[in-house]
Amino acid sequence: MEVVIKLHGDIREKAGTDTVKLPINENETVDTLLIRLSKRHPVVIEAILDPTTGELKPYFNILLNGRRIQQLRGIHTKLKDRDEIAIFPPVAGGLTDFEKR
Amino acid sequence: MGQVLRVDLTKEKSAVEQLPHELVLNYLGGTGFAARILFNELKPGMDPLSPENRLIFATGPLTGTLWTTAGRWAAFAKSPLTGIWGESHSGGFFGPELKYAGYDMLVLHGRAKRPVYLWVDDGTVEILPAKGLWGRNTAETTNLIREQHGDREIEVASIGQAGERFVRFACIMNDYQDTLGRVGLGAVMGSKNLKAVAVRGSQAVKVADDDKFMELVEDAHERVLKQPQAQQMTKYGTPLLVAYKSKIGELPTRNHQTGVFANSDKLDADTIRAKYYAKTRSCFACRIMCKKVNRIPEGKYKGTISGGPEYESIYSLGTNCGVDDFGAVLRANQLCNLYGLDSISAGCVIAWLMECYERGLVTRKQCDGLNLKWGNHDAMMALIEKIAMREGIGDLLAKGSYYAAKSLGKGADLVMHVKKLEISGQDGRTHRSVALTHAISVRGADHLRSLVTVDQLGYEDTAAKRYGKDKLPEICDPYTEKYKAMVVKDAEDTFAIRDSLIVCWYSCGWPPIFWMPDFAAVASAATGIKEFGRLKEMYRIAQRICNLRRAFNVRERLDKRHDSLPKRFTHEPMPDGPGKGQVANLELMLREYYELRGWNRRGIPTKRTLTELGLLDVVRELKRLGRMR
Repeated sequence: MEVVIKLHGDIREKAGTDTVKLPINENETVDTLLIRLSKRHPVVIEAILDPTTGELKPYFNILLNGRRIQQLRGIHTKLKDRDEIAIFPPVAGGLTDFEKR
Repeated sequence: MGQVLRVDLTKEKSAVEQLPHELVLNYLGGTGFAARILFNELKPGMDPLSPENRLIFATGPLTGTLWTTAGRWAAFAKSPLTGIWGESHSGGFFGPELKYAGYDMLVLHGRAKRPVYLWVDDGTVEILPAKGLWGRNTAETTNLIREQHGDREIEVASIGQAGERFVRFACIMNDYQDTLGRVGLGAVMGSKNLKAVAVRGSQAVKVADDDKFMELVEDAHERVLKQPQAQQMTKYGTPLLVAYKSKIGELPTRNHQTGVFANSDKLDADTIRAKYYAKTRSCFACRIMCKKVNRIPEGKYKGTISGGPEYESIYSLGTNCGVDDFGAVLRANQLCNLYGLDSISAGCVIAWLMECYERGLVTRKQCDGLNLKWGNHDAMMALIEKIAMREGIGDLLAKGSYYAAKSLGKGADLVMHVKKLEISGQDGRTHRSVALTHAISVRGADHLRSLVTVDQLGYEDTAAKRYGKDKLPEICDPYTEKYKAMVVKDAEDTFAIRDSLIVCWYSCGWPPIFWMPDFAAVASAATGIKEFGRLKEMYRIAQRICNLRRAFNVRERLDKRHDSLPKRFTHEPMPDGPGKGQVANLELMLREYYELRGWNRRGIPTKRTLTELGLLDVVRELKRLGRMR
């Protein structure tokens, strides 16, 4: 079983590739896949994960077959053969802290 | 500042008026001022191409200052494409120059006896013959005017051949690549026999509270510089959206038949940056600098070098026509800019004809022998020229797709429009808030007056802060109608203020760099009007503007029947991609939206709503016309 990871924007430039194919195991989830991706392309994980919390940085998006993983089960979403993961840097907007303003 | 330049082209006279203080207090600037002027001065039912139409060039209270993303301007008139409210905004440098010449607004009346251009040089205003300019494209016009006056710093807003021929979606260009694109304001300019407005100014823009204003300016620049989102926009520009929208299945393809375009990677930002990028441009005082110039190094379009295309043109002239050749899209976009055509409407009207052709509703002979199969970019180029020059089949398409289908007597169901404006590059089936945005937008199928992407991009934590945790997960779900009326109204109110200050959309995409509190603070510091610093007052102004613009359309006999979507969005489920099976359900969102706005079930502002906003004259006018009991 295998999944395809598509990289976009700055993440692609940093990784030096647009596509990474990784084999997956039974019960593989997004978070375990990211850990294995970090071994092959540590620069990708540095770009998208907060080093202190291990969480996805604000406004980066991971899509699984075109759906944001937050609409599914987040990083615990299970993967299956031939799934496509797409990782995007922020594509629009900025950052207003609505609580403070 | 605080001056309005009025030019009557029929009488060949100009006059300078002071901005009435009441107008400033109640309407702030830009779209607010225009709403009041057009409502007051235009008679309902008048022909948009008649001399009676007003063409307003407006700046905002921040234009020409250092506050980032505010170096813009806008034009307003009754639209010849839609017959309703017409508004279009542009970046570039024309807006600040108009301000430096001493004017917040330019209001054009009448029709010149022969082709002319307007020359505004600080206090000097002259109506000059457009000899040697008429018949020229927009770039040539700009160059010739600069040469004639011996000054390369002159800013020029001009029409091309399309505006001269009243193509209903002719645009106004400035700085070669910046466009007042939508709703055919170039045709209004053409109808006035006005080829161009050239401006040179040397006066300073003063703000009321220098220290506070500069503090806000520095904060604004710093916030843009720090944002990872803005950094991506600086590097890639709006084509960054292509790959994302392709993945989520909302990249309108082949006249919106689907949201999945097989070769989207040929047109996305990663490919453009790697293969075609030439340089970055900026609008006046903008830190985001999203504008790109691209060059085609090889192939059929080798040597083409031009600004853009923005995401919307990649959609309209690319995926929507089935074209996957970036060189062709860049060249088509360049042709639209040179002839002075709105690239969205141009691409959409061609996509409509291509679908008619593919379905056998029109013959090759009817299409001047062109083979209009999807993706034939040779035919697309030919059609752009034919539309601009109104030759052959181009004369039909120049009416816009709604009237083209009427004249043809076929293909009406395939016209992708709302209120006769061709639809922008979104799809309400897989992005539910935009279904409402397209349906209710004051200028027709437009995204820019209330586009919400919280349901497309998510960012749940930020959404919870803005709208409340209890609205999750639905508010971030693109496939449900729940809460979408609330977010669309919230955006429309904020954007009414943004468009009165005349600030760029990319300052308040999702999540926004600036929002209403930022606009309130900077408007107050710039003008010295304390009321602008109160959020409650800013929302009141926003609602006044939204209601007055709506009343302008109601006066033109619009109501709920026109707040609709193309049948394709409501009755043809998305055929493939992640949103397969989705359709837009408009009714519930419309009902909620009208309630939030204080409008009745027919979508007409109530007497109570208008009275609370101080719009008593509007109540009287709607009653007089039988639009209100």
